[in-house]
Amino acid sequence: MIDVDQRLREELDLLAPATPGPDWDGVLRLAGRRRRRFAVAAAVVAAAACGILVATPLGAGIVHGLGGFSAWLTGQPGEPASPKEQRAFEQANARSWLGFPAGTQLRRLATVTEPATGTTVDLFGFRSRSRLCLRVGVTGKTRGTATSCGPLDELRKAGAPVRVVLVDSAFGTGTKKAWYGLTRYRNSALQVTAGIIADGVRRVLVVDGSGRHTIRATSNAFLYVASEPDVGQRVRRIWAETDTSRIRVPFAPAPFGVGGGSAPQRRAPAPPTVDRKVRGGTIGWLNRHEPRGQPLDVLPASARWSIERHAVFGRVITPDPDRPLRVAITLNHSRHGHRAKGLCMWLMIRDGGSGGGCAVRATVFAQGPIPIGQIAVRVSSDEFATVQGLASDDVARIVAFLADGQTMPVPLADNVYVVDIARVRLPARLVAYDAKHRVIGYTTTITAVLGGGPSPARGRARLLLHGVSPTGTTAALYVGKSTTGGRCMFLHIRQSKHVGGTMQWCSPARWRGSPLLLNALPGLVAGAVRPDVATVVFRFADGTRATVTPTEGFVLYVVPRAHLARGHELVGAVARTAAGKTIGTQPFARRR
Amino acid sequence: MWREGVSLAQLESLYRDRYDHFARVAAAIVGDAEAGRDAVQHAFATAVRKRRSFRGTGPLEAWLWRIVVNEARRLARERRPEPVEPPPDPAANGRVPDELGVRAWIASLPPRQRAALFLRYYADLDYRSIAEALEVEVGTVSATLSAAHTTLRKALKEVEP
Repeated sequence: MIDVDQRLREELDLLAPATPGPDWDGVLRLAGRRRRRFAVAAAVVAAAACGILVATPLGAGIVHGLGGFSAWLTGQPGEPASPKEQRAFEQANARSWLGFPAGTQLRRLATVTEPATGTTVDLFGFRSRSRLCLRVGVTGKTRGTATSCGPLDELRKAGAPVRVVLVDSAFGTGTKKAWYGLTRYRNSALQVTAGIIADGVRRVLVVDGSGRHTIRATSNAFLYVASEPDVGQRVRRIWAETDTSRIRVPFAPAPFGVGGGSAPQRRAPAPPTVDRKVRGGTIGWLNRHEPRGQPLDVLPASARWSIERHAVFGRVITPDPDRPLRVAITLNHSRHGHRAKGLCMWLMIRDGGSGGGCAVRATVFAQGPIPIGQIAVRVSSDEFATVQGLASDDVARIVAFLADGQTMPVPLADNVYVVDIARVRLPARLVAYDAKHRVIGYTTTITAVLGGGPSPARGRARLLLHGVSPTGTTAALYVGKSTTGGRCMFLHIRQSKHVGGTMQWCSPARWRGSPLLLNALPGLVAGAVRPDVATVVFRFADGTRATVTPTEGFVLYVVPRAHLARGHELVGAVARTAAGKTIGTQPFARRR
Repeated sequence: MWREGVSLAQLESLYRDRYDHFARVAAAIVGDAEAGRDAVQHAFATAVRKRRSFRGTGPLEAWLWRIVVNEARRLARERRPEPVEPPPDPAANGRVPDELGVRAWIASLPPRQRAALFLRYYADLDYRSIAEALEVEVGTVSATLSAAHTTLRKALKEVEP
């Protein structure tokens, strides 16, 4: 099908030249006005727009000398939820396959209402054994709930008077749209940031793209609601204010698009010295088909088919009795039958779904007793990442070493471990000990899945180069800004009506690596070159050459038909400076 | 309820959010990036001065687009017309040839129709907002965009069997 709209956009893009940046002060000068200081007013307006109404009394604040989070540690923050709210929570909990323990009491912490749309955001909290949870309920024009929990241990060890639990959790769809490269995003109707705060904190200052917002501490919690936020708007900084001081609160911003979301880069904990080398471990009870944990029958029907399909034996393990999370382990044969050579692990999630994978049984512990666990950022706004995995029988205990120098024990049961690590405390490393407290293995560095590196910045990419190869492959090279001050390249390839795709690459502000970053496609070469590259010389197998001058640092070279034949094909590219000096080469694989 | 007037903060917010669109569409109408920027600056200065006259009967953005487009067209009339050229064709490097003749067709359109195309496909305005911005009927917008579709579809069919 012909995408007429897209082609029109591309053509118009070429006719609309890029212009210098905005200058609001210049507008005001032209209008005959002096610039007014909006900073304070904007913050007031934004806060008013959010309609922050604190509807709950302060918590009891009984100090028990436990790090200042007394109300939370005693399980009594805020006030009891209304019977209706408690009933709704229990009904939702009962529907979930992995519910919280029966009798979990919901506590009402804060409420924000937005008069303009009639949307109300309620913040509830509860303690579920060794975990503290926040639950956000949105009612009115926009509806939804979000629940996030963190280990109680976090409060004791995090060392901050505020523990952010949810950040920019999105609800509903807003009306704003914005381009980032070749992707057009819509905003959410609301974004909610919430956390737990210590007794002495009076206010929480939240800074995001719309300004600075002062949130009153209430019931040992804070709730910030960004109503109709800008596309890509994210909370950037949070401070806790007491009567006498202001303290920066560490947290990991929520990711946006394909970038962001990572805390400031920190050094990963160094690998420990291994006291005893262990290779080729096993899980004895699994090999012996011992009935540990629960049978696979307890799994919800929606998950059973895929898990049981090739399973010879399997059990459902609860690695941490304090949290509603289970892991299914199965011994599998291949789809053709034969011996059970596969070992599969599935992490069950609250809605009954599952995620996991399989490995060749003999290789799982071939390199050590604790292969790297999978890291999964459950939702974009969750401050905690769940890490789970398998350990061989040699492992008696696992400890997480965090980027801030602290450690935390990792729950381990029946050779399955699972732990929630605050993203702000990554990168981390898990270390395995044997029964004699000797280090017997460790994982590779665990980092957040998302984040780091340059990604497309706001603004639509423009079409820079276009080419059609003799074989019919079309390539369109778009260019946009990157978040780190460099540029992003989007290479849209179409080989046929049904085969195509887009490659994306963003350069850092200072490109220090190889001067050529070219992609060889059927009949085409496209990519980026370092700013100091003045010409690119393409070399062919028959000894001939072609020189190309990059356009704004990008190349899209259509290989002539004569150079598609064997013996004449493209074999490499040479980067040269304006002075003719060769500063880099890139070989291309020859056809066999 | 209809409101009257618009705050400076609202204007500044829209200016910062949509500056790139305003500036590039204005540049396309005027035929020059610097002139396009001037058109946006003057248009927003006008909006600042007349912000209390905004009656709120339509979207604020459409009202601003009308001022920007009018300013761009005024500047275009003052300037000697210059052809809008695609990027230069570097030796042997990829290029964006107007193999479909679409750019030539767009360039040949009367300014108002050209502006309609940009407002729809570049600034992503809906028909009603475009009509308000250009002070024409919605039907006129619809007809212009329909013609653009037909022309491009024909051209694409010829080169993409």
